[in-house]
Amino acid sequence: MQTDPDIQIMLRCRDGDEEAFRILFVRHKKKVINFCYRFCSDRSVAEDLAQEVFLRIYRAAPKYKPTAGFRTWLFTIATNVCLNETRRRRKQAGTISLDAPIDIGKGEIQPDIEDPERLPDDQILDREQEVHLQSALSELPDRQRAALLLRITHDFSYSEIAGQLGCSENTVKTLIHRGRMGLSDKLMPYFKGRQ
Amino acid sequence: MKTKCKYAKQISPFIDGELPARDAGRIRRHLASCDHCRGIYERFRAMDEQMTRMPSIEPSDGFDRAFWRKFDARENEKRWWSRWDLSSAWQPALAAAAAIILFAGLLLYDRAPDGNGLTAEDVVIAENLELLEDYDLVRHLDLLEEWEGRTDA
Repeated sequence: MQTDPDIQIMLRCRDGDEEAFRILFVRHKKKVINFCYRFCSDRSVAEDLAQEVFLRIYRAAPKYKPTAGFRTWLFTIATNVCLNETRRRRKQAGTISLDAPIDIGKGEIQPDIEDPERLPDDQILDREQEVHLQSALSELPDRQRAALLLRITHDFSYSEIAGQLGCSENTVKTLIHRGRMGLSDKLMPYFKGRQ
Repeated sequence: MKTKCKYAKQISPFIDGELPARDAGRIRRHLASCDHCRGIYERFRAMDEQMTRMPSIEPSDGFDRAFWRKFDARENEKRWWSRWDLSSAWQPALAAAAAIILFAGLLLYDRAPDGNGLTAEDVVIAENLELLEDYDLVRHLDLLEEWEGRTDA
């Protein structure tokens, strides 16, 4: 683990080297933005969340201990920020009006793409798939969505995800299985339509 | 989609490479013979592939600027608080001050009037009021005798 170059940079950051923090920010910002974006389906919210993740990293730096890989630690913070934010928004929406739509991105899923009319057919199909998939993802329970994203798009092991979500590996196994089943159910009509 | 086969729950960890080799071998053989599980397996694989192919978004133009602005704001806030650095050198002095305030507070509380607006001293005076009134008379008895002597004369 000590060979992880990011850990060495983070240790410099812990000792007050602001330049080291800038290196980590530049190196990981895109991955964190994309994780947050896939989690909340809203670009502007995702960027706010990603900024919060890096502010928390800087704040936590003086107490940083390299007990896990840097990327695992980074995504633990990112997952917590995303889960807390969706919980907060849901609560806020609940206190304002029971009828108000919960703004966690549902209904505003639009991939950041160029004009579809200028794209070849197969690319349009890909974008259409992306919209369906993102919409189905956003309808999953938060922890299932987090576990699926950490596993499938960021390639963390069940053991690492268990640490990130603060649960057992068996729970992760269940979250991922149910997440995949949930996605499969939601995308079934689409799968059938394409077969 | 219902997981009607007992092996269906093992498909996800199988795809993720999280099963021990022996269990993985069993699932591989099962998939060859169970249409239901093979259907699930193929859908899961297709979804995973779609997810990994979803295009990344680029940070917006103002992302870095907005972040460093927030960063500077937090740092300034921290610097303002650090003027009131309570972390190390001031801690013993603050602890001593807090202890003195607490002690003084307890002392004042002990001497504070009770529910009737009387102090402990007031209660003692009230209980011995008669005696104290007599004491005043006794204290000024010589004056009284002198005055009575003059009137007699």
